[in-house]
Amino acid sequence: MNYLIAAYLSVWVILAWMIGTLMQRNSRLTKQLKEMEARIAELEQASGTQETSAK
Amino acid sequence: MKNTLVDQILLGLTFVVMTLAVIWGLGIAPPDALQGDVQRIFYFHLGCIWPGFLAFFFVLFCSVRYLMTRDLIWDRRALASGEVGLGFSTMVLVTGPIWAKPTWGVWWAWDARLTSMLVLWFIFLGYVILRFYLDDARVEARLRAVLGIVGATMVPFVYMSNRWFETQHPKPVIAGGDDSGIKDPNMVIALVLALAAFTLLYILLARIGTYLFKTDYQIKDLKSRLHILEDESR
Repeated sequence: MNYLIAAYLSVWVILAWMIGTLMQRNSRLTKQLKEMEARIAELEQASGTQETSAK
Repeated sequence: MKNTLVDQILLGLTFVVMTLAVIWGLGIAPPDALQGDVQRIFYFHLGCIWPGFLAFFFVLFCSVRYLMTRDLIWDRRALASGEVGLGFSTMVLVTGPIWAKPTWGVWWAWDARLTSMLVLWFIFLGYVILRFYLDDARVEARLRAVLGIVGATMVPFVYMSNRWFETQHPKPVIAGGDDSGIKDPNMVIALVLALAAFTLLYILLARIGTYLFKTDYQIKDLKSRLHILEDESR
């Protein structure tokens, strides 16, 4: 019976690790994407302002 | 990440079928006459490996498509599938020895089936971790496609190994001849439910993985755009 419990438990542990990794990756990428888009928008706005003042 | 209706349906179905698989495998299916309760490990052991092999075949398909079209979407699909396949293979390599110890008296035997499965696992471990060692996305995708094809072509050998060689591993349960197979209908239901649950899980995890790899490449593109903008602003 102990072997049976160990086998099923190991499946759940590996599965939880797989899902946990995906969730962690998702939150890291979402954060990175938001930061990068904000930075790009900021730089594009700044370059737009520079062009207007040059004219 | 956006949850589409398909993802939600898949998640719900996976949960229901997995719950039924556990109930049938641990409760309703009778214990094996010779092995007793430890035989119940078999439902999840086989339930994991079939979708695992399916994942590797999908890697093969996507890798060939990538080499033909050079479209990176195929590389992302292959990588997501390979990751799930590696996870399922890990489950097989862990549950196998846990079953073997009380049945054979040893955790591991270096026979054709177990050894070829371990080799397959190492190939796909290399396949998955390759992305941490190369910077050029195209070179990385090309190398990965070749490795994926090599790995996936090993699957038939792993599958047939206990037919071609004398192995400690039991003979095939499905299509293994007159003497093979499971006779009790509840045992068959437990096996079919486990197979269905892990197949649904594979589809769900591979979809999520593909989406995340797409986002990862999107970030890499944005990074190069950001560098250009930063250079211009200096």
